[in-house]
Amino acid sequence: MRGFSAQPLAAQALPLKTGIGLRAIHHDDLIESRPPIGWLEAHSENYFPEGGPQPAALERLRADYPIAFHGVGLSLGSADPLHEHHLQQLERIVRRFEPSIVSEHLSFGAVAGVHYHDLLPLPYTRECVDHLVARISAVQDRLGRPILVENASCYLRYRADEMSEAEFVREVAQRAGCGVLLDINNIYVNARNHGLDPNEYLEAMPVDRVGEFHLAGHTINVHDGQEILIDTHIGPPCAAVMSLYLKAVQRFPSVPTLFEWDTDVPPLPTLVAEAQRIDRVRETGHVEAR
Amino acid sequence: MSRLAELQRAFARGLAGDATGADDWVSGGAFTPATRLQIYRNNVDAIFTQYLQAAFPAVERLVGPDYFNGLARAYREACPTSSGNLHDGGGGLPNFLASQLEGSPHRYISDVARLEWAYQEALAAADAVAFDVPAFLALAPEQHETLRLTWAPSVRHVRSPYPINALWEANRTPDAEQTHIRLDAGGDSLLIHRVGQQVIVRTLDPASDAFVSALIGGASLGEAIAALEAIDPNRDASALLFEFIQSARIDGFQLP
Repeated sequence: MRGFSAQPLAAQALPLKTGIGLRAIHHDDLIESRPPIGWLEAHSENYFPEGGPQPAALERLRADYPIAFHGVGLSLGSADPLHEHHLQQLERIVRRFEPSIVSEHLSFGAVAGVHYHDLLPLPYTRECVDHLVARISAVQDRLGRPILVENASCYLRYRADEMSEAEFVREVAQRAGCGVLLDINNIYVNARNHGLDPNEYLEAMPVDRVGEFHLAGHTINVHDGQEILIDTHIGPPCAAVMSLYLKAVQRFPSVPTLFEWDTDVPPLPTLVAEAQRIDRVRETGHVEAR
Repeated sequence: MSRLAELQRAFARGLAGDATGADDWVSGGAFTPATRLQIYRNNVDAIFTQYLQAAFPAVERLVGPDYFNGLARAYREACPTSSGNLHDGGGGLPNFLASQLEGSPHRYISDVARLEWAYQEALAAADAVAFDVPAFLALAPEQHETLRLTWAPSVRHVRSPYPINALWEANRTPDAEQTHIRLDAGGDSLLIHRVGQQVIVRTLDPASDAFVSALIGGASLGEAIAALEAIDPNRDASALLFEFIQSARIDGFQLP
């Protein structure tokens, strides 16, 4: 392990009360109504602007809520060099807003100088683990703090794969000395799409590395009579994802939860109600019938 | 090239619609590699198109959703971005649209795109710094001629032979009422900047346009005043200068 200790998880600073993904259309409503949610997670890139309404709203909101930054554009797994300007901007907002958590994805987005702005799937190879360990270490050294990396949904697997996804995530986290942002919906989506055992996946995750949960809804598409699950972040998480979440909470009892809804984003009260429903599930240990 | 780089390049070819040989590196299973790559291709298209729709709402309303979707795809393929920040991705759209509409009666729409992008940039720019009024007042009159003024980071100047401000205002929201705007109603020279969190669009008359164009082109204050007076010898340049300083459009000056 390099760089950072086995306590990478500033998560201790976040409450167990469920947080929600911060979207610009909710800025004013959040500032005015201050709903009882645990915390807010902002997409880092949305707060790269140096002035104007985006950073102003975040400055105001961080007085009321703990915040986390969740990046979508750093392209940690890309064979391209890390994008210096992107890293500079991330460093600037991390210093300015002092988030409780900084996270990114185990994916790639840039190829040969072109960025596709999607979370493209990585091969589970030793070469890719080495690459990620070096890149995550570089980012952590730059920011002067550990980051969390999120397991991504994927719709294809590679012939080159040399290990399971869970082994890949564990290996990266342990060797890079980073935390894991465990997206429960993504585990479920990949389990359904690629025939993984989601329970084995949870068991493989090191207890001292998991620093945050994500929950979201997905969409079931049908091609040629076969189902494929797409991680659309629409609606609440389904009952199966919530059952898996309860198992995750048992294994990682002090890890905070973030609820994301990004497609057809509803009014704030709907998001708050869903976050509170997740709180009740966590407290009672039972998935509610809808 | 590393195996990882080779794989990612093959993936990028798949995103461009070329799935030949994908069987060699993608596991098939329930779906063919081409179908699996198509899922990603659709995602990449949807993410970028939704971003452009949010940044260029009036352009989308003017060209219609079908043309806009095709435009978004063609633009992304012709002008790929290296930035991982999606919000940087729209800067080349006005020029790309202008090239697409060359010789078309709809060419004005690329100027509306310029205005929409200027609005986006103004919204995200750094705040203005405070203009040093005492230092300015302490200058000797002959120094005014040669000094160069600096614009606040949010300031953009957009000119068009078409009435783009009215076109933009009438099409910014999807449910805006239909209005009739004559394309030959006269052009616009617009100075855009942000005050607090609000983006302001100020229309410039021909003399003010000459003054602003000269300053933005790097002219000294004396040269800009000459440009203004060449259009309107009776105009008071100091009133304009005062307005721009007071509104924080101009936030500094440099002596030669």
